[in-house]
Amino acid sequence: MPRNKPSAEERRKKFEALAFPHMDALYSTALRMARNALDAEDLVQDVYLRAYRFFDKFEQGTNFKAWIFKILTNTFINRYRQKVREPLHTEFDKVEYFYTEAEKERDDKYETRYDEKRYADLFGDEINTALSKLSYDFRAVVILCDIEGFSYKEIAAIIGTPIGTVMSRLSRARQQLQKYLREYAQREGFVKNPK
Amino acid sequence: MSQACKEIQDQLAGYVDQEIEPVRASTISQHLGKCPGCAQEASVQSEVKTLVREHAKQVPAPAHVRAEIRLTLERESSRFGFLSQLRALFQWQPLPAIATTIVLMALSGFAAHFFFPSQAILGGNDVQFVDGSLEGEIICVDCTLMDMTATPYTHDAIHRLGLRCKDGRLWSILPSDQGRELARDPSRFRRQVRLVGHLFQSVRYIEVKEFSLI
Repeated sequence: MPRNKPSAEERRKKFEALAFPHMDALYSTALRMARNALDAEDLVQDVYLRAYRFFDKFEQGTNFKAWIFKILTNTFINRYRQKVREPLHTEFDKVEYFYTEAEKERDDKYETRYDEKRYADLFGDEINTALSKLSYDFRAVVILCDIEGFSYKEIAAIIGTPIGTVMSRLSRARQQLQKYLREYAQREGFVKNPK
Repeated sequence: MSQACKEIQDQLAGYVDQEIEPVRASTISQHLGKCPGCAQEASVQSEVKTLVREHAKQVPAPAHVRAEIRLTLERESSRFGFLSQLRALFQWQPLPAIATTIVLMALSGFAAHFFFPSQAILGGNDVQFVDGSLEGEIICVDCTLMDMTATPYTHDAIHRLGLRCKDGRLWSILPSDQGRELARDPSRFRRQVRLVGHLFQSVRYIEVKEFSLI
């Protein structure tokens, strides 16, 4: 049999060498997008399978991390976003209600020690809580820029918007985060309420 | 807030991240020197960026997710390998290849009954099971078979959980929700458990509905 193409085994090894080092990054991002551990697990597995199937479409020498993150955001939007049922643009006071309901639902559904621990790892502090309350569009740019360290150009390619949109979303997202953190600090009495 | 301030505030992220053209950046610098409101917003941008970077860390993917991904890719890759071989066969000699494939497919139906009775029965319409319970030790089917046959073979994926009953019989655990849940916690390995569920007695598969440690 002619052997001009790499074998399935070689192809898989090559893919794993490129893709496996990003597993923690993909999982963390999936967790922050889906906001629950079971969906995050399914999402990451989906992403790896899709990336593997489309591996021939990946152009060698280009940025693999950006490529696989694009698959992550597309998969999340197409398959999971409806399931998670979140409003497109949100203000914190409106979100509060939605979010506690969603949390309660999740806790009722997946009442396992495992899940709680994992969730606490991520959302144990206020920064993470604040981040999880941002709308998806805002949350995505903060995760990609400030946690994963992508450039604006890469983010624009990943989420499929112009660079200017990345910039304005990021500016507003950070403003919202600060607003939330300030409210939190006031509630907890770290800073005085402005008169 | 003036229109100019609004425009600038939408670009402040790019300004602190140095993702903006130098000409525009120096215009913004000049504006910040004159406008305390925008200067305040610029420091918010860099403060929040630092906070997020320091507090929102990556979370390592759980071991079972890694293992499942590896297994999925292996399965996918063997499927891919089979298809590409089939394709190569068709390019080479279409007619004999088609005939061979049809014969092979017909044969594989019979062969499955002899070699893989479990798949044939569990996957078909004639699924027969009884509800019942089993007690025994949680073990890895692959490791145990290796011990029994003394084969020098290591499986690098996860352990495939099974149950060794007191009569020495090995049972495989179907990947149902509870079966997966059972596999999730490695500390259950080698423990005595009681499993309740559907028993496929002829092939010794159990679909776990409930489990408890004893």
